[in-house]
Amino acid sequence: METGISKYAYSVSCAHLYEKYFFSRSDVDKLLNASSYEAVIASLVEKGWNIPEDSRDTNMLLDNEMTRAWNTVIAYTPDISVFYPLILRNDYHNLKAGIKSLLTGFDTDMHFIRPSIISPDLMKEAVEEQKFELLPEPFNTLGKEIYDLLVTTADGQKADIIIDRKCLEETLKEAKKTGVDIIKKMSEIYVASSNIKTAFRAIRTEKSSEFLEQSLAEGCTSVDKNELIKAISGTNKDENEKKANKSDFFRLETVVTEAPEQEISKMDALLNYLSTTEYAEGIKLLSSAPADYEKWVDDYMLSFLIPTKNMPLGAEPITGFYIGKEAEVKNIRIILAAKQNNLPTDMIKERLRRLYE
Amino acid sequence: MSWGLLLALLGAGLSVTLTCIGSAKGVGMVAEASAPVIAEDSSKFSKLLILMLLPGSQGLYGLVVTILLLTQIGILGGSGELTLTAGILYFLACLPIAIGGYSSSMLQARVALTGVGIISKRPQDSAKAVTSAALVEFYALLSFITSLLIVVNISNLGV
Repeated sequence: METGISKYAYSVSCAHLYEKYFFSRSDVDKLLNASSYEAVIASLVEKGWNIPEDSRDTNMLLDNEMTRAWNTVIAYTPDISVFYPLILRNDYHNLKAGIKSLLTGFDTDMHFIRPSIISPDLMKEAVEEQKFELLPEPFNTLGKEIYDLLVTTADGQKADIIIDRKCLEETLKEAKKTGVDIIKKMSEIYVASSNIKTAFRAIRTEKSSEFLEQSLAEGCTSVDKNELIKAISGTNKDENEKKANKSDFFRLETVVTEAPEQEISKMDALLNYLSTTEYAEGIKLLSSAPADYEKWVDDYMLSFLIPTKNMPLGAEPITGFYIGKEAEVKNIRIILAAKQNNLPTDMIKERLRRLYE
Repeated sequence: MSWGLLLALLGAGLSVTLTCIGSAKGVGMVAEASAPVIAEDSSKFSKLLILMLLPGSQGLYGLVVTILLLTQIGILGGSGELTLTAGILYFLACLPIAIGGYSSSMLQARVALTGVGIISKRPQDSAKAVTSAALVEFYALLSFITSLLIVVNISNLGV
């Protein structure tokens, strides 16, 4: 009699077991102080990571670990589709990367990310033979559309906009279907932060409001798409100028010195609006250090998951486990990149994500 | 068959059915959660076994109440005749263990599941995990004793 949340008993237990092998703060400090790339790899082996033949292939190494996390915990959940919103982005990436690689003469699966819902072999076959009908909806129609677009116009940016927007909207849609609050929240933050980044870059690169209209995903409730478009079109410029004069909330020094006046006013409008959303704290970082904003978003997501860590049942601890693993993998990526490039420890320490502990 | 007897049998059925459903679900969940821990380290089986068994006791309490009730009303070795008032009283007597037993077994299973997590990560704390789960047992026992006392004493009321 599997009803409600009780059906996750086995998977939650698997997640708790796996979490034993997560890197603790002191483990991460040891990795930071490791003498070389090889020393970091040796520590990963100790933690049970599968190292590929070419240990310098960081992407494969990290993809292997994420796949292991997915296969040993989430693949055993009775309804795996509940967790699809967590990796749906990988499938959209694979479709985009596959088509672009095909048209530029590279191996189709060269830039595939794992784990994915659609098997990499099927994606490869569908792209290489242009048999997009092999893929499930909406990948089949989207794949055909993108392929035709790139073949006829070679407009890579437009292709990116179409795929990325579809990915965000489908992630929200799939999350809503699951009925699991924490997955809906994670998807909401992911889509909202992507929309914010797009709007920010659009102003920096002086794009039009029409561009933003096409690029931003619909359906996000924590950040209003219309407000973002309004900011770039400057329709509420006066109101925002008044607000900006009253507040020292924004640190726009870098923008002021580098950008033209019109851009500053648009940026003001954008940041003023975003300061009224739940992302206000992260927005402080957006104009000065976009990489810190990315870190803030990851840490913000994890802040919702850490309280669910010791829950004995339900999709929450499994979601926390997977996103916690993603944060760990991002940290290892940063550390490995730093070791490969001999970067100082202090520089990379501030980039490291919050740990799931 | 009288209405009194029917009600008493309904109570007996409820007490054993609800507690057994609760226990089966509880034991099932804890056993399922224990499987990956045992697969990784089979030496933890004995510690986990206590946690697996704890939500199972309520089913036993329900059965004991049912057997006593069946003896009291004469289904087991008697005439099986009962007034309506006595039937209602026997039915009501079964409710504490039926409801308390079902609820406590589900809640105990949740605590035991947390205990499985503790044993998998910090086996040295297994006693704390077992003690926490055992605390819920107290309330199952209260329900059991209440039902038992009422069932045993209804015949003294002369109804």
